[in-house]
Amino acid sequence: MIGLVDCNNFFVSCERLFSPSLEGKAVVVLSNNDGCVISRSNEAKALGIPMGVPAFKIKEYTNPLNVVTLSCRHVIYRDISDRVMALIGNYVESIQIYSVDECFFKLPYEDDERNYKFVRELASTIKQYIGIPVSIGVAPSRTLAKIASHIAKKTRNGIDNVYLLTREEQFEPVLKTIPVGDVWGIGRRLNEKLLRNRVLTAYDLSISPMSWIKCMFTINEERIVRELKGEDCAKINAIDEPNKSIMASRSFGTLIEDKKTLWEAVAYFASCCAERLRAQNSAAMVVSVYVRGDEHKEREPFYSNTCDIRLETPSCDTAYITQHALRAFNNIYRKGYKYKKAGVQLSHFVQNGEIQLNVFDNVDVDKQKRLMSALDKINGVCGKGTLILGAQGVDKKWSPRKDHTAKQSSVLRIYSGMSFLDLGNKK
Amino acid sequence: MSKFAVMEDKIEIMELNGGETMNISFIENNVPAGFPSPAQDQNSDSLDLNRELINSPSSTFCARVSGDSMIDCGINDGDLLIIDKALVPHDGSIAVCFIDGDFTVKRISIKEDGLYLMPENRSYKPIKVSEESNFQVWGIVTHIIKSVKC
Repeated sequence: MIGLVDCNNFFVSCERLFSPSLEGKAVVVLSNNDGCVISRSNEAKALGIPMGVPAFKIKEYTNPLNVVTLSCRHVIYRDISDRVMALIGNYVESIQIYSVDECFFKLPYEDDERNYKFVRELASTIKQYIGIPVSIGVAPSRTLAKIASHIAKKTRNGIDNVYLLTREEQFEPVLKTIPVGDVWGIGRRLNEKLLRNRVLTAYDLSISPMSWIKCMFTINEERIVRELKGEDCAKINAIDEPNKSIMASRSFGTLIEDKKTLWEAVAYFASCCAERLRAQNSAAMVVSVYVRGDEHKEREPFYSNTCDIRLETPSCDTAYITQHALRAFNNIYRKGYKYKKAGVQLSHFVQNGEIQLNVFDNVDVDKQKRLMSALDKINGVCGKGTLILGAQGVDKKWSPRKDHTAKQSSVLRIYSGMSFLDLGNKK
Repeated sequence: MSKFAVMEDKIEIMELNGGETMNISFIENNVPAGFPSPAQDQNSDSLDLNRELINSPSSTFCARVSGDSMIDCGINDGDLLIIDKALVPHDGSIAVCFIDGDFTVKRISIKEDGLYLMPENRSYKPIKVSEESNFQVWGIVTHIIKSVKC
């Protein structure tokens, strides 16, 4: 059996952990640059604020005074996410981290009763140790586990937000309640195509003839159908595979025209990617860079482009990768446009041990390796960004703006000089 | 009233880098506060502060103290607390609590007539946690890190 742990309203829950007074209030967290809503508390959902609406449109749904709006603090969410995943990892044999707030894991038992007890305990341990509420779905396949965790989230009976979708007789009644577009892996286009063919629910999809699926769709949809029938099509062991591509990108705080600022941003993204690449012990063969204007600014000419560069030798060296990312950037940068976003992606990985050297290569690989491991060590001990390439610059003029974040102190502050005698009078 | 500084409700954790080990030479014998023994120049072991101070990395957080209500048990303004959320509070535990909108650090005391948050400073009064209190034991204090003038 496969379990899926899904942190409830994750970013909001992280904020509440450090500001318990947000409990019970409608809270939303906004994306970088305070763009749009990316996490909502249940209270905010109840007010009818949809996911993804731009911050300035919240007032169309409710009085903004009813809602606490917060800027995102991804460093904190990442730290809390790492804690949740590490904790789960202590209790299960195999874990696949699927996103910042979700992971799949293998259940330790065969029977439902013990598994139920196990996931209930897991959920309450995460809540106690880290303070983050989670929902857990259990099913024979990951697609069904996804559905089970959604049901777990909705049937909120106290603290144990868990649901087991393990018996075959449950499948039909449960899948009939799930619109086909809500099935994991069914996107908007696919949903439309299925609806046109009168496949309305997850159940309809699960009983579609395989021959029809095969001729109408791709292997991916075939896999979804098999998973809906309860077959595990992605063995959880295959899950520990390293990422197939690594991407770092950011929307800028303001539109940027200046080449030097963009240049520094691209260099920064490239070094972030390279660092993550080394952490998973891979080397990349392709470096891609993209830049993008703001298509919503009507009076500005819009420009967007991307450039891939194939490296002579697969590499995870910050300097080497940055150098090629900047070459790619030079190819696509056009003067006179204003840019909203840029990013660097590394792909086509090989494991570090499998690098084939180019005969004409004159790179001193060992020297590179020693330099990079020194770099990672220094940044590990002294903090991220202690040692950087000069190309990145130091002022980060491109970095996102944050309006709703309170003053950032590095630690939780507690006032011990507090007496409740007077608090009592206050009431 | 001056004691009731407005609580800073927005806070940020200090990232605890539990992954990195850093061993510091450690002298096994208790350090005498008197004259140092000349025989003690050989270090018998080494110490990793992360391991010494953090039992459960995923549930451990840090906090800085402001205020003087706990000075009698050695918690002073500016001290750094190591807090473990995994621990269950007992009578006598020093805990970081959240009560009616504010964080506070106090000693937990379970009495016949209910739960009290006890200050360790005579100029403060114990706080009784009532039914109506919005109350939560946020975590248990396991260590106090103090800096001394040097």
